[in-house]
Amino acid sequence: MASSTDKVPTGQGRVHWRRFAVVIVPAILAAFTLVILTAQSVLAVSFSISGTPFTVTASELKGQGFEQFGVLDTSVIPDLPGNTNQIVLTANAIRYATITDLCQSLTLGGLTLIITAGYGSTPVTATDLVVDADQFSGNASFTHMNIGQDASTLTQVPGIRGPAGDFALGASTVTISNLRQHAYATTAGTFTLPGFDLHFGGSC
Amino acid sequence: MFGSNLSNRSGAADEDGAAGPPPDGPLSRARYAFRHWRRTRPFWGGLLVVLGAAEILVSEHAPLPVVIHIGLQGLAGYLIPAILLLIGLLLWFNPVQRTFYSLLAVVLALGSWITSNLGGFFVGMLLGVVGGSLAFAWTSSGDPGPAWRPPWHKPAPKEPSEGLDLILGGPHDDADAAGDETDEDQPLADDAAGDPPNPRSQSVGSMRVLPAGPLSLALLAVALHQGPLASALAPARPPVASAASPSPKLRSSAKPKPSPTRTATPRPTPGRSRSGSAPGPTPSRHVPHLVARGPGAATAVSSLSAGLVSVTGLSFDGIAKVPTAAGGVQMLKFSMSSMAFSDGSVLTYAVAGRSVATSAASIDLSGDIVLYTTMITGELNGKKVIYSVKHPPTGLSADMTLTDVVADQPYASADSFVSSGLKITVA
Repeated sequence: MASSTDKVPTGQGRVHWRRFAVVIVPAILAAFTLVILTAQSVLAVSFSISGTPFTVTASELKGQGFEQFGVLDTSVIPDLPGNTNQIVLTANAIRYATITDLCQSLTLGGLTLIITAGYGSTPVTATDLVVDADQFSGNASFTHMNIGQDASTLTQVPGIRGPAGDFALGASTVTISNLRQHAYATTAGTFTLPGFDLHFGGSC
Repeated sequence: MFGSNLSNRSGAADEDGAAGPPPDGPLSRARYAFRHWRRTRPFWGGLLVVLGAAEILVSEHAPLPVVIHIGLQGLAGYLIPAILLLIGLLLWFNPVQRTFYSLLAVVLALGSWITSNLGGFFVGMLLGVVGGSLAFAWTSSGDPGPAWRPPWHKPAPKEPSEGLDLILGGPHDDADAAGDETDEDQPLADDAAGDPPNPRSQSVGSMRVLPAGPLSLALLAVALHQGPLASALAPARPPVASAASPSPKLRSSAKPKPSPTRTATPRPTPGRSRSGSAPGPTPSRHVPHLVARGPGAATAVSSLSAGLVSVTGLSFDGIAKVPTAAGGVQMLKFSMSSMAFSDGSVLTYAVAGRSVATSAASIDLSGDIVLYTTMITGELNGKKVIYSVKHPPTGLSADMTLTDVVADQPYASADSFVSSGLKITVA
């Protein structure tokens, strides 16, 4: 003990609650400011989640620059025999998306987390949105669509392309109503989340 | 809360145990050592910061290629929680600098809201903020704590720099005093009231040199992220508006149509130079969009099938050599003005031994459709037909309806694709 205490530069200590308040009060205020600015879509935030499946729904998604191709992802859920955590998904990339009535539910350690945004007059916007989904439904329309393009030649979302030879879809615009996705990974360069709400419990 | 309670109370509760002679047995000896280690640093604050950073990192497990694509913003999403984790560990292993580390932890935790999944969906951010605040609030009875005090607090004694003294060999008496205090274990002695003024404040300036590394990293991470943030602050609206109506940006990207030369790019080079793989909106007849633009057809096994296909303005344009990743492939080339799939239309393609099926109640393609395919089977007027490169179709009428159609290796482009009840599943 004595030897260990000699190395320690400070003596035994305790928490001073006034000092705690001095930091935590402005920090909490700053946190609420961030939440409010996000909800007013003044502040754009970044997302990248994966590992566990989650559900995304939206009443309408409009996008500029659409790509879809198959990908082999890793997941906590075993899928292919032999490759216990490899899973085949469709990568759906949109360069610029506006989304109305976005609802995303994911499970974090047994808790269901629901994020909603864009229910008001201002839609959610996202750039470089990539969703790796195994189920996807809705009424979709595309313009200037290519079907069966080589995935390595995709250009609609700069920088996102698949392996050579793979089958891909590409379109310059996409509109999907009543969108429902079961996804394993999503990333977006930036997200604005007007009318942002985050709560535990419930479903989309 | 509980953490600070523990660090607060444990001193009193275990005082006799800690103050008494070292207990026997390796287990209790280790516990004693750990308890002492824990009490001599902002343990709970550091733990909450570490947990918060870990939670943010866990929430943010994205495929690496995608992160690299998103680039600096995406990396900032990892950098902020990584630094936060480092700060949490430094709070444990270099508690002398705790004022700086704890405030930095609070700032980084707040910053993670923007960069990293809303601060790990609020949980990690909250842990980081509370942990940082706890670490800031922690003071050692062996030293009077950091120099800064709330304004209503009585004038503070000078801050010691024991960490530096360890290196430089500080004044003897002070070092002994600190050692005595820790050995005697009087954690609740007083609230730094009776601490003597410390003469070693001149070293405070040099103390700040060490954390400059993490600080500049953190500032860099925030700065990296400022691009999207700034762009979101000002022009968030125009793109929203332009998305509703056909945007000028889109039109301009579609207009510069490469000249329709069939031999332009024979190989499917992953080209960035092409002005967009989408076919142009105002094409002349029989423009070989796909080949002219050089995006190769996919080689993965794929098929397009439907119970009923109605075609208008059909013409068979011969056999074309379509570039693919595996070299040129001869395919039938059709062009038409509209194509309607119904009665169970499915597009399937193979990925890594699985198949991705896109089914829809109906699919309507219109506007300058070009379709390449290796083979079409179906029924025409009750008669089974097979069109392939070896048996190309002859005498097709411009408007026709086929049933039970399957097109292999479809490679198509259309100005408009409208589907209802679209469903994509991985089988």
